[in-house]
Amino acid sequence: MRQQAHRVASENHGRRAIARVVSVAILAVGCATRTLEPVLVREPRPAPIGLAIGIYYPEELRSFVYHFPSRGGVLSDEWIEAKLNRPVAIGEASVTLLDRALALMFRDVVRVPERRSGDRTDLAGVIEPRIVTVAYSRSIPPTKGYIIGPTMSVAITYGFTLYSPMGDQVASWSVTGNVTSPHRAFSTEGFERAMRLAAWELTSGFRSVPEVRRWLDERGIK
Amino acid sequence: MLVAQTIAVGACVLPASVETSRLGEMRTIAPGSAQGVAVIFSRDHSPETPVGLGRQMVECVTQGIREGRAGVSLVGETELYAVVFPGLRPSEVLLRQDTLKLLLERPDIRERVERLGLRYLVMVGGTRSGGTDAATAPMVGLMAAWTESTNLTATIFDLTSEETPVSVKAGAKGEGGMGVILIVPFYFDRTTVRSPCKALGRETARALGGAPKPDAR
Repeated sequence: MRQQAHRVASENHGRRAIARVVSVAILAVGCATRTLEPVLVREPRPAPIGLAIGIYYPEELRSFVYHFPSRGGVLSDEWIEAKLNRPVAIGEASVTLLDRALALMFRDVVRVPERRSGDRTDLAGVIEPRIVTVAYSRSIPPTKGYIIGPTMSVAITYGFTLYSPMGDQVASWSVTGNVTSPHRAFSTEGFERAMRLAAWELTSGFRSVPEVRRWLDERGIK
Repeated sequence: MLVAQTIAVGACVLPASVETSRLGEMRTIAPGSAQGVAVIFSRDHSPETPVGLGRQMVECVTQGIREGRAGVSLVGETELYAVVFPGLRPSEVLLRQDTLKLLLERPDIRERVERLGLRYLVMVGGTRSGGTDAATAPMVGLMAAWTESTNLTATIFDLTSEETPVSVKAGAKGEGGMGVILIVPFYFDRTTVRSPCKALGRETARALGGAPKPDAR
């Protein structure tokens, strides 16, 4: 009986594989990156800091695109997903999200072309963000089959460096947004939610970074 | 659909047995104090919960409170966000146990919560898990079977106190199967969502001081 069950499973697998190849052929045509629209958490909102700050986005961040890695064997679920999932433009969306997050934190936010304030003498410093890691994984419950569906995990870590107006490093820290939720094929929601939580960690935890706290104290910010 | 299956293939659908539990006790409601209760599904509070299940739970718990005569008035989710967080979309508000305290420390938010008459916030979440198996026997038949378990939780926050929230849980395990034996099709299922969902609503109403009929379904 068990051998029969295996044979049925094997036949089904073969049919699924053919369907997958056809799907790959059809869907591989569209290879453009997908855009994200992460939402900024506005409540609880941070206590505003009465300073103007510069923000410098390096090219590596602005152009960062996440490509789904091909895991597993050819035509495995992971392999299929990697082939069908279009790359995700995380950098572009990060710029918009971090612009909004810093605007919630500071009196004024100005984009600058380098890690120093340059002509802007009113800037208290310059913040440079970077994307440290992006991790995506999909897991299937350890049962023979599944009726509820797999889960997916997305973790995005941003690194930040605060520079003085002259370009000297003042502080460096990182924040991570971590999301595990029911898997939805070809959905970018996990990335958007992970970015949302990372931005929340930034706005809520900025004052808790020891070097930042000292920097604020020196400027009379409580 | 189900009736048709029953007639055509000899099917049966049974409610799974439900276990409920409660962790913590609510403080007694003082006469004249705000007694509003809002039931919401926040993915920040319970990220592992599928959206469909979360919405179903909101309906069950709301219904349970309504039928439970708990002496509280229901505040809709839309009204909650519109009054307490005006101008914001729900996704712009991070509602979790750790952020609830931060929010309520803010005088403007506290004032709006009181204006709404909101005392309790019930956040729901749950998981479903299960597995399938299939087998064939030549000349005899074939069959697919599955098992499923559901665990649901309603966390009740008393917005007037900083005490630990009360957790109400309901869970069920069930199994199902379908197939053909000697050309006779069959189908059976012990559903695991509807029963614990209703039980969760009843238990939440009880936790809030209600007294629903014990055998109410």
